Amino acid sequence: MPSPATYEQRRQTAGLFLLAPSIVVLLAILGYPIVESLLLAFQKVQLAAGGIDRQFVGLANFQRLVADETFRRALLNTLYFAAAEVVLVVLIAFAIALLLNHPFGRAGLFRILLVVPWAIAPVANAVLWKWILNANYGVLNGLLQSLGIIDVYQVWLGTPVSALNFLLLVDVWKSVPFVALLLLAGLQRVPSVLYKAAYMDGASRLQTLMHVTLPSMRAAIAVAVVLQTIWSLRIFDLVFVLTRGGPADATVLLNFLAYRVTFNFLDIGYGAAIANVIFVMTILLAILYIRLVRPAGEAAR
Amino acid sequence: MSPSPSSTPLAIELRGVAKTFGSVPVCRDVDLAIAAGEFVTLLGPSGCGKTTTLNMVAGLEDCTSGDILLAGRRVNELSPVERDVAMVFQNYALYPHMTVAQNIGFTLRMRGTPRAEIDRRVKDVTTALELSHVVDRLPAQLSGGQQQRVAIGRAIVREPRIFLFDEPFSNLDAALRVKMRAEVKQLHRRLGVTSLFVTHDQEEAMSISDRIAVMNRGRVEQFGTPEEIYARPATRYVASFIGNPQIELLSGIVEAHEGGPVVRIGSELVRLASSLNTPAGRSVDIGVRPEHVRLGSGTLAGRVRLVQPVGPSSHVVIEWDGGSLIAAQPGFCRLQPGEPIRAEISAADVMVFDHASGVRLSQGMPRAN
Repeated sequence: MPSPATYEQRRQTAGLFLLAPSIVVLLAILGYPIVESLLLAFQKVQLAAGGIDRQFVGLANFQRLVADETFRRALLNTLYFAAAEVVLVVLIAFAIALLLNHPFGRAGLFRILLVVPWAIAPVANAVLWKWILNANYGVLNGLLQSLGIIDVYQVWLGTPVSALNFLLLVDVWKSVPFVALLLLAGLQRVPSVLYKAAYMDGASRLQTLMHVTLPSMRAAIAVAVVLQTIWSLRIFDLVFVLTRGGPADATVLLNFLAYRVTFNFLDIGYGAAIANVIFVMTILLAILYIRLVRPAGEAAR
Repeated sequence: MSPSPSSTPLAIELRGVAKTFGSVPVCRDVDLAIAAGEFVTLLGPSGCGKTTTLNMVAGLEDCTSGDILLAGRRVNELSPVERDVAMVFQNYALYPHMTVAQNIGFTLRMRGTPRAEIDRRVKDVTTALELSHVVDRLPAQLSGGQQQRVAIGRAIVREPRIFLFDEPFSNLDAALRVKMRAEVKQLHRRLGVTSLFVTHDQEEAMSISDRIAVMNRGRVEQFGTPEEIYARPATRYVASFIGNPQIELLSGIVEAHEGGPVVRIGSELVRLASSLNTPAGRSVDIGVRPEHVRLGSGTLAGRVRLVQPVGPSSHVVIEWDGGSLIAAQPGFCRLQPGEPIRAEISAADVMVFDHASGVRLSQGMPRAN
């Protein structure tokens, strides 16, 4: 390589050198699996003695998806789960962000308490909730009974609708902190002089929230919605620990289905096809996310 | 000039208004009486309490003690809308997601004004402020001067009883600032609405105001017309805050001399008006404005140190064994640094301040602060 002449050239070459290691690592740990899983999705894979038998079958795996009752169930479960979680998380997180932004809520202690659920390792969190929800010794049963809300201990994860919604509850509990901090950051970027102006303009608190605060936070809210949707679509750990998909497949979400098909049924090609459905949904949302973040960064000036 | 007779209530009256943040006093004993239709400026350096005073009139901050009366009514606990005041903020505070028309109409929308009336009033205001061609743009798509006008439009669309301005021009470049100054002054003349304006720019205050309240460390040092403030400053602080270049202050002790008291500054004897109460031995500061130094002849013998032409005049810094002075000369001055020069300080125009208190000694007894 000729030695770079101008500062501009030198900067570009230096940038390339500095980026090279991370590009190599990313290609190895992200690029390779993505390509490999995409290839698997178009193959019929059979584990044979001493080797793996791979055979291209075109779109056969994807055609199976359309007819698969369990897949349709998992897809609906996942869409319900994601939609409900985004709505709940963003609403609760916004309320918490408003409280934290209030002078009384500014103390660092509240913020520390807030992030605890988010900081717990996902599986530990799931195990924790498994005990809370336990039908015989669970704290939730004990609490509700002592308050007189229920007469007898319930099997919270025992009926289809209840199980799915308790999974939802647990994940909302885990997801709210991060989104609340995200929205709090957005809230704090609203210039305080706008509140003064709205006050001078005679806007009530509610009017100020609707006409000044929310529109000013549009970018932050959009980012929160997109990120939370991505996270909700990818839920696996809770299902794995709490219900294993039961009862009667009521809590089978797409990611768990991909796992079950691949590693329990050893139907690797079909499992890859399911995984790629999640991948495509996620990547579309990721593109949306990047588009949202970019103008927000420019508008910040 | 002076407050109107008691039959018509004052537009704005502050009685012993004080504000402390924690234990830090920001405003103390602020008394102001502003007549209807007056344009009054609060002038002072940053941290002097001028913006806090404005915010208390606006209803954005509470007074720690004292009373604020608007049109004769005590308003301490009332909201800005009830006070019928509108404010133009320093950084415009335009709502970034609303168009010009929405920004201006916002306050009317918030109080449920009918749609047709909002449209009509917004149209009137945008026409008057030459914003008709940008009504559908967002603030980010406007120039600084246009944003400023939108901020003003948002205040006038309400047709309030009082306008409050918080350093509204501080983000504009120098040329635009002078232009906006003239626009605001004309607007005030047309609408006749009582206005309270905050700035740290003495030239801006002088050019725009009916009266100026010069503030220092939370107090009003002097409240008077621009002419009074400039020609008859109450204190040394006011004298040195107003005027560009700054007034030159020379310290000395009064001596008895044939023909009246004098102050010896180096080899120069500055004569004091005999009507001033200046017994021999008193420590005073002599204030000399550049236009009160005449070059060419006189008893003061010094040298030219520096010549600074500024266009219409030149500022000549001269030094002698008593210190240095700035003299304003019309046009471009041909003097060279180092040149010997004679000068005369106009005794009639000299201001004399008590050295200890800083109060200007006027005819007769020194004023109580």
